[in-house]
Amino acid sequence: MDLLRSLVDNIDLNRLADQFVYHPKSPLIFNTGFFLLLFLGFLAIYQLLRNQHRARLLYVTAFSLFFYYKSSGWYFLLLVFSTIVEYNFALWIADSRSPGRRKLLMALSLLVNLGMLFYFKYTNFFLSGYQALTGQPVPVLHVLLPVGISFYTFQTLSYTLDVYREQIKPLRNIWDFAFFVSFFPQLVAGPIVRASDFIPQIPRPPHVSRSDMGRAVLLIAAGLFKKAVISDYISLNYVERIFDNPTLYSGIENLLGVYGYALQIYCDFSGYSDIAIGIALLLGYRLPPNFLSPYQSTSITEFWRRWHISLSSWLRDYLYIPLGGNRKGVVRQYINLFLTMLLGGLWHGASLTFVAWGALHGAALAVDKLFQQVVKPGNGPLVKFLGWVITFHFVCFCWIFFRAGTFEVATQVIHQITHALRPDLLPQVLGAFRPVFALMALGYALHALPDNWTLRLEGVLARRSVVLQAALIVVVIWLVIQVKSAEIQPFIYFQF
Amino acid sequence: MTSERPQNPFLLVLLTVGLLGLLSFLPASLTIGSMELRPVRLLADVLRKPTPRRGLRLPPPNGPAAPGAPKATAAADPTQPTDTAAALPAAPTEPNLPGLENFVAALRQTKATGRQTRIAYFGDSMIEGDMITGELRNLLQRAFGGSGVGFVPVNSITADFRETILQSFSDTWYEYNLNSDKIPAASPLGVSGHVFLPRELPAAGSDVVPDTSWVQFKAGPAYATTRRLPLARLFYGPGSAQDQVIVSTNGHRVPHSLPGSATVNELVLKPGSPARVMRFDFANHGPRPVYGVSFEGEGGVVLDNFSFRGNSGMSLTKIPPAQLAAFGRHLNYNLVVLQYGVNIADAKNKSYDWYARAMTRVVDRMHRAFPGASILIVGMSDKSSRIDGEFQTDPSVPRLLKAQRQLAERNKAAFWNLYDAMGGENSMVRWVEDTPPLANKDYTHVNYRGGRKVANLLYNYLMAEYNHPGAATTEPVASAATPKADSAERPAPRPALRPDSANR
Repeated sequence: MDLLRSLVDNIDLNRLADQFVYHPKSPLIFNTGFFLLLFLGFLAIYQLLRNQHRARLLYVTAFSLFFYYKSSGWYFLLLVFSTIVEYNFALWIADSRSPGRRKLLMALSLLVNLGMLFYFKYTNFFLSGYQALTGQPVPVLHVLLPVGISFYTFQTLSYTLDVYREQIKPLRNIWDFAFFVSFFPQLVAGPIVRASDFIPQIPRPPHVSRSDMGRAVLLIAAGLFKKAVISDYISLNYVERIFDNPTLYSGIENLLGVYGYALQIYCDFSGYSDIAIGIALLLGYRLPPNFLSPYQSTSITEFWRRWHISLSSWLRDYLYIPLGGNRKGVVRQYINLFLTMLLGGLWHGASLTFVAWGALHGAALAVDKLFQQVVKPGNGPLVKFLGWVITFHFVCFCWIFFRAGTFEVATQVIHQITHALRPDLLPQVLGAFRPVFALMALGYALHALPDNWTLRLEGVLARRSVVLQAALIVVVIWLVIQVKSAEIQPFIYFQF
Repeated sequence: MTSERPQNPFLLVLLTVGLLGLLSFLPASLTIGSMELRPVRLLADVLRKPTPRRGLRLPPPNGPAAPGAPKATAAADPTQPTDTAAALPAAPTEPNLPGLENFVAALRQTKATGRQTRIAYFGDSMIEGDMITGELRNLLQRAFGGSGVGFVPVNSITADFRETILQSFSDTWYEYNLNSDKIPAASPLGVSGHVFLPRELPAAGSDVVPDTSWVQFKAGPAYATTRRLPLARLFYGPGSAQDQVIVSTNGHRVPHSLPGSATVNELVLKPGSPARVMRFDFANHGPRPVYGVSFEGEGGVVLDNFSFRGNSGMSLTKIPPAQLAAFGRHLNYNLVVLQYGVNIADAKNKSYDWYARAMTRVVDRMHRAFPGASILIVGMSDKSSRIDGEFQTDPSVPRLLKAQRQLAERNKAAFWNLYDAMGGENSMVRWVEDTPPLANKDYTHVNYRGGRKVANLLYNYLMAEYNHPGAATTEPVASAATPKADSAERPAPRPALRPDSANR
């Protein structure tokens, strides 16, 4: 009791209150101690409200808005605006008989959604493009990008589009809709949840089964490990340095930097998605999987079925198929694939390097289609192995543009790899950055595990007591703390 | 499935938090083997801070507050531990030192008569690829005239990315440099710390197709003053009298013999109109040391970039004094800058007296080789390490700065505190986190943008000295007049005037 009192006495109320205010430099992310405590408090009340449907939904929505406020400040009003507008558009579309009117309403909804996305994300990109083309100076606007806007505009768009295509019925209660749009686990970094997947879950009382719990624990533990141990460590201690200044390093260091980045971005993104899916599961909601060991793919087509699935399937259903998909002949199909990926690239960020990344993937998808149709390489082990080698390296090559930020840096990385490889330095480099490469090897080894192992592990965890489940999470959090406060790898030269 | 009893996620999270709470009772400095375990501090963000730590996030946007101010806070708080890693290293600001008289006089001459002022800028990877020096040269040439990038060694690892000159060369050169174990007496290192040996021609009568050594320079687009190659001076050692170099200027090939038999000779090439591309093909019949080419205008300022990756400065003694002096007679330096430190900054070093001693030999040799030159020691830049999970100025930085200042003081060299100019304590963290960033995520190297900023800070300092000799180092500043405890052994504290507030 004394212990508790001294703890309470020690709490700095100002600092505690400060935690609840928006700080641009420290958004609320899952892998922080503060989120863990906040989530504990949140769950206590959530558990109490579990049989009060309406109150529970309102409570989660309010928490989600606070969560978004912590990440983006006053921009949370944008989320409120988006919710009100799309809710009404969907209703108007559903209630209108005339096809022309429906079309007009749909177009308006697209205009609002894409207009918002465009304004916040692409204004300066196109202004500077205009400047480059015409030579006329244009002012640069100081538009701050609201966190997660690309995710939730796509999510609300899919809802209105599905209503327009009469694939789902619109929600008749704005609080239900607000719950769907703002649901905090996936709000800022995906997965992009389809209305048709999520809305049926809203009226049901949330139920967390034993296997759900096992799955959630594994997702959260593995997600934390991927995001806060592997990704954060190799990025700070190795990958960022290479891409900050590729010419300081030999080709072999650059090459390892590219492999490192491939693992880093996968672990970062899929890890965060996994935590989001796990947290949603703890609340009793099922979100679709977002990544399925993408680097196991043996073709680029397969890669896009395993990488950021919620985005690629969104692009397929709402961009590629409306463009005509494969229904308008082979040439059009290739063009559609290419265009879809080009825009998909731009979705990732307002920069020509993202466009180039999308274009490379689009072209590769088209080439792969053609190759499969013309050559019909079959499915033998050698074909699979070669396919894997080529796919993995092509994906890595594209990551260079994705990460580099400018074509200049991308060219430098490629130049170092092709012109100054110095493979003789490999043992030295590996030796000097031992923890980095040990983690990288571990990351890739875990990635190579067959999917059914994961399922089996989920089953094993599901049968264990909650104490053991908590212990697993604690072990991972403890590892995260060790990595977070570890001294950074010193700077070393090899190239003399 | 749904008939099964629902699980309680609240219990899961409660247990997680509880177990973490138990872990936080483990003693703070637990070790397993040689690995030190970090403590679990779940409530670190909301608990009272144990000690009032000096403001990591206080934002002096443009440099340090009054030097000495942080010290005062530390002194006012006797409870602050000083021997644990958690205590931030006190950052004794080492004031700048005067000593640029020769350089300032030369600059005045340049301004009045146009006569050349020449600077040798030695450094490590911080100036690689003409980082810092490219912008500094540009600023000086715009103010005092002059053109060209100065001395460029034959081969360089920075050739691919140096923006002020584009350089390509055959892979037939043999190189010795500051890192070579044994350097033959017949091919002593040159002023840049390198010497290059072109491949020899096959013996007469042999039908081997000659595979000569060549180097090509193309003016870089970065700055107006270095977009052309004005006058070119090729520097080489002795060799066979029949040796030739074929110089191609804008495509015209002209063979030249290589006169002179001194340890350092030069061939001056003056194209009719300033060239964009120059290529040198060597046809030599025996070993012949070749050092590099200097591209420069007739007058104004010339600045030579002598970067050497990974160097601490100490190995500059590998350049034989006679050779250094021979280059000095050709190149007439008015200022020698030595910018080192990041490669020896290591928290394990409690004192850098050994470094000051070793560098004294270097400075001494520079004084002898370039008798007309001022010498400027640039104190190291800020460099961070992660201490207790936070990036902070590495404890070695103030120690090293102290040694560098002592080095300057004892050897009649000027001293400019770059660490202070960057913003003092934890400025590297701010430079890395700035948007757009000014430094790399290794928390050691500035990037090109940061390099330009450093160049401007240094230029402002040089101009303050030029306009009011000694102003940037000796005029007392009211706000910083508090003498500091650790400076008691020095005759009088000479607080730094921030370069960006100096008139220019």
